[in-house]
Amino acid sequence: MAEHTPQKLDGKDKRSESFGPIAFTRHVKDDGRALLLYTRRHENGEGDDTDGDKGAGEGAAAGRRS
Amino acid sequence: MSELRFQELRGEQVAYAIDRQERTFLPPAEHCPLCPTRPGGEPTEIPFATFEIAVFDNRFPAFAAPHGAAEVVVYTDSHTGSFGTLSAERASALMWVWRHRYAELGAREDVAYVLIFENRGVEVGVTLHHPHGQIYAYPFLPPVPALEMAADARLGGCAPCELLRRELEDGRRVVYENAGVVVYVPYAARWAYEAHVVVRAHRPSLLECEPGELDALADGLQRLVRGYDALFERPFPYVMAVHQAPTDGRADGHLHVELYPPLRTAAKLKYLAGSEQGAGTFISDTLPEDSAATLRRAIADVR
Repeated sequence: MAEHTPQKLDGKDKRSESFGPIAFTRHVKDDGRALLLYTRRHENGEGDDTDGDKGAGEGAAAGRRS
Repeated sequence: MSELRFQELRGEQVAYAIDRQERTFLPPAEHCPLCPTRPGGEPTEIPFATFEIAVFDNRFPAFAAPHGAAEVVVYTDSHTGSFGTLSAERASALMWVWRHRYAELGAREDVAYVLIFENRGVEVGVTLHHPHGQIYAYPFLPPVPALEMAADARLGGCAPCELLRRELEDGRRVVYENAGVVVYVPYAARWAYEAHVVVRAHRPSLLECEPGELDALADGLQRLVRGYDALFERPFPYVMAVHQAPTDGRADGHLHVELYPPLRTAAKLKYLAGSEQGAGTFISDTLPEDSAATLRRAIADVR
């Protein structure tokens, strides 16, 4: 696994969010553009598994309007 | 900022993004903007010394909020390699990144359709060699998914489901299959080695897939592109497009990935010329059954 050496691009500590088996952190580049860094989550626990992405079916409402 | 103009004769939108003329064009490896920023080195798009998978807003967007989005997806911090050479674990993680971007972008009010794609090779216009793909979030429904909706109506149900059934029944054009996906050269392929990677179950998008199906999709895609590279023993250029349901709520869909490689032999490209551009009718030199047999052997040989 790659080791991140995060820079505080927008001056704030970054909280890792989880999405299924991956985790990600959001950053803002100097010119205002968004940057997301994704990692594979490991059993010894990067992030937690509380944001509700549980696979088939449940994600549809979050991703498409009805 | 891009401008949309409607082309009345074709009934389609054309996007003008004139800033893209200035985008970075085939830089040497030491100036690659998709590499990590090494300590003391030249700043890149990703100001971290290492990373696994990165996504950022395109510096030269064809679409941008509040009229869509354009993102770059960097598969690895290694400058060399390709989608096909990623580890199976990283390729599966990439499927989840795609799923996450589809979910976030698709939830936006200014986005009607999310297209995840990869252009590989200078033959299809690649300007950066670092392994990466892109995402365009369109503020309108583009013509290709609109045609897929028309196919659903014409066939009286999900067109990819019906076409998958026909391909499995025929069998001659299937080049690879696993528990979750089937890979085949379509009956009416436009490109000599065009291939579709179709999820077996009816899943409108990546969001509805079981985790095992995402692994199967990654496997099917990697088997195919590795087979492509083995076909002529050279890096095989292609356009890879992930087809999913529109995100404006107007229609269903069936997740499948279409690959359009321009090579028809090891050294000859298929060009879109008079008939293709002037009349919209592809003329092919190759029967799909024949290219499928060749591609099937190539995929089997690299297992």
